[in-house]
Amino acid sequence: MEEKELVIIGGGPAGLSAAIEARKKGVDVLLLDENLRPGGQLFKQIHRFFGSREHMAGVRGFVIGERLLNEVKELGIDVWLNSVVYGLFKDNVIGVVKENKNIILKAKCIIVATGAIENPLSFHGWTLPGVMGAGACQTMININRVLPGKKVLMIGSGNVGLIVSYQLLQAGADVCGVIEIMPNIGGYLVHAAKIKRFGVPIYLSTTILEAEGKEEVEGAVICPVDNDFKPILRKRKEIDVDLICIAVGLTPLNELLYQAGCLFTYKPYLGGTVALHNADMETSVNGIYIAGDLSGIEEASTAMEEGKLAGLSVAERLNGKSYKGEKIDVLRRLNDFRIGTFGEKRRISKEEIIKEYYERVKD
Amino acid sequence: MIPERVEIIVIGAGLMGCSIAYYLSKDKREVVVFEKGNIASGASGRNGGQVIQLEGRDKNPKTIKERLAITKENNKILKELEKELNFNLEYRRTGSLDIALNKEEWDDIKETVKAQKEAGDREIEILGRKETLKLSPLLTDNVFGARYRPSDGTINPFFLTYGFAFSAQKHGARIFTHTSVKNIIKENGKVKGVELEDGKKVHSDIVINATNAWSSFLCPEIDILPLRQVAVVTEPVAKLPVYPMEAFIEGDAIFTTTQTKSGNLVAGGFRTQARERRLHYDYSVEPVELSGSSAIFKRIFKGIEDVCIIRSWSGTMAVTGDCLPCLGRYPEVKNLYIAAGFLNGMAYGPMIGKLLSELIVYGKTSIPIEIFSPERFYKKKINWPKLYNYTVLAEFFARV
Amino acid sequence: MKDYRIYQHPILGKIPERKKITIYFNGKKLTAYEGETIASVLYANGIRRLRKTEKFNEPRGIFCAIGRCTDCVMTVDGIPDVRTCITPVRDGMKVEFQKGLGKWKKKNW
Repeated sequence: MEEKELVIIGGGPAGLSAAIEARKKGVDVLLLDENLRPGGQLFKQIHRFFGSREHMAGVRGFVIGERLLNEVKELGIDVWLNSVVYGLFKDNVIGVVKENKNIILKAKCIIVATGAIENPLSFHGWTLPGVMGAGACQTMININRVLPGKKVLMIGSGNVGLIVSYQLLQAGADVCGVIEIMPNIGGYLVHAAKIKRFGVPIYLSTTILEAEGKEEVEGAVICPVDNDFKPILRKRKEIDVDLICIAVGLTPLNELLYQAGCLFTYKPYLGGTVALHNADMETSVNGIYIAGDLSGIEEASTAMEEGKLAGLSVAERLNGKSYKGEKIDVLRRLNDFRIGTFGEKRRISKEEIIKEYYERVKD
Repeated sequence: MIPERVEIIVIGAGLMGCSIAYYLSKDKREVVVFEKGNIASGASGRNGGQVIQLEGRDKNPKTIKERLAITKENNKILKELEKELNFNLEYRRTGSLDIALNKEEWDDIKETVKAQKEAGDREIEILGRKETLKLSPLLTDNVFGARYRPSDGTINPFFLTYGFAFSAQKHGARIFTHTSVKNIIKENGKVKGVELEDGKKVHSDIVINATNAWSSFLCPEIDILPLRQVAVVTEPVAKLPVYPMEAFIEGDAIFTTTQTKSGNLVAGGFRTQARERRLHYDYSVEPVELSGSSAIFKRIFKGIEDVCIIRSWSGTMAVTGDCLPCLGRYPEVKNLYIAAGFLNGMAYGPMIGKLLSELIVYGKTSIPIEIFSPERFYKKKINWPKLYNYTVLAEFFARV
Repeated sequence: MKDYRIYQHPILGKIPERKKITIYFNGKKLTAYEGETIASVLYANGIRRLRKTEKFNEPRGIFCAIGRCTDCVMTVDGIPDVRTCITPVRDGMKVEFQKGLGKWKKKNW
């Protein structure tokens, strides 16, 4: 059984950032990713990121992704692609299948950064080909360069729904409408403005009743709802679409953490069931750290900062040194992101998680 | 609401406990079941559902007869049970195989079948290599032959346990899960009830210990050893004529496989590392147990390399000093009964419920259960090996 | 012939040059490019129906596109339940529609 210092599971923005930070501090890092190339969901983000210069504002997601990959290469970080972690066993033992070979690893520290999965939404016909996650659609158009449909209905007006709608327009699709069950737009208004300029209608207080079609999506029936979210059936409307995207949130991919025996809590503003962690990003299982969407649904920018935080914490532990200054910088940047109506709620949820960690986890 | 007083307390809501609760409540007795986990959370929910009436290589005519007496009756019950419980059990009489993968095993199987036939077993058969492969074409071509019992089969162990639990409840039994029993209360050589983990006392006339691998915690005078086994399940594969099987690989591991109704192959019993007693309650699976399972699958079936294992788990069975269960009155304590020490539950479960209910209601059983008498191990010290797994125990029993 | 590939994109530019290869879908020849995933090739050709469910015979296609949901599984070179959204194509690959969990085309399974 090979013994490593730090194994990072998941090569998205959190995992890559953690690897870079830990390696810079001299830690021996092995980064595992099940895909053919790392980057997680970063490479399909073709829009410019927000924030200050420090936060790489104005830079497109895939450019950030390329920068991270270059840094990983320059630092000589060991990366295993096509490597599926199938088990997180006792005593920090990891089971990996790498190109059809089973490898058992032991690590002094593990950072799990496996990200999240899109939430489904069930309605009549939701299983038809042509109904997919908004993120799935984004992968198809920006990574695979294939349009999964020409006329689109977007369900959900959060940032993902708005941004992917815009990217569908860029890819040459016709976005027939965005529907949102709440009475107000879920995402940043600047994103909403962009698609409105292209004439994309945003139907508030509206739900979908049905995806129509025999073998694949041929249309949809949308319907306004009343104050109790009940469809006002007489106002239902049929629209001509061949692609329906669902953008109703994400849920952390907790499976490995469940197996490892981590303790969890429930935070609706962070995507639901989230593992308890302390200010160092360490879970209730000694030596297992988390970062990114896995530790709470936020954004790529916060994923990168949390990755850095976890990487620094592990480096502190393995090197027996303190990197307090740099960690404080990271925390400051994280708090900068956690502002505004959405950010504030996430910040509070994160603080509650850390508090609950210290209440429930015995040393 | 947990009652203060009840006629009969059953401890353990596994197959035995629920079966016992069913038969007693059907007979209009007042029954409460206390279960520290969930229904079927012990071995009852972790096995492969094989209904094998005479598992292992028993060559002793006395034990063969007495075991078959119970398991044959059990088989009869199983035939009508879905109707009786009004519950789908996914029970199929597929027959079962004990396959030989080398000459040593083949000789042992032939000897075993001879002994069992001499003891009066009429349905058991020996199949040569060609016939075995005809029945189960996906077995490795290296198979020498097999023991075949046509009336064995497979059942869904969850449905069986739940079927009994729900029917028991319909007849008035109450089941309290997540309610652990700390002690059995005795006074003047008579059972008085139980004390729960939170200190609450529940009084009863009769107590039945049906906690299998945990029974010695409550009844320490009879030493029943926990035995952990690992199991895996594959993705659904084509509908094959797969049989519940036993196979001894290099005398080192029992390996029984079966195929669920949806087509998944379930298998258990891979070689695990010898460990101390308390670690046999540890349900976590080790990576070497997964690779070991894969390796054995490949030795038993041909062309299975690309099939995926989708889940693994472990469970804890129970072993007594002679590998036969303890069933009956607990010595020196009036109205305390025990039904524990099962390595193979599905072939006994329903019948155990019936027998224990007969014992309690009528004072005697319809078929003799003396070989299972708890007295044989009462206050007997067994020098179990400190570190053990199936193989170590097999050697232990061979020496005894 | 339908072609849903995005050849020109305002941000991503021209579609990258890749080696042209051939795959077979239910026996029919399809043009593919090295590096593409199976599902991408099918969707690029307007084929969105990838399989039918066991019980109710319902058509399914991709849903998550990142290998997590298994809605996109098809039988590839005789092996069923392959996640086509993350599996890259190979020259000469045979991709087949599958019903339910499919059938193992190998000798026995």
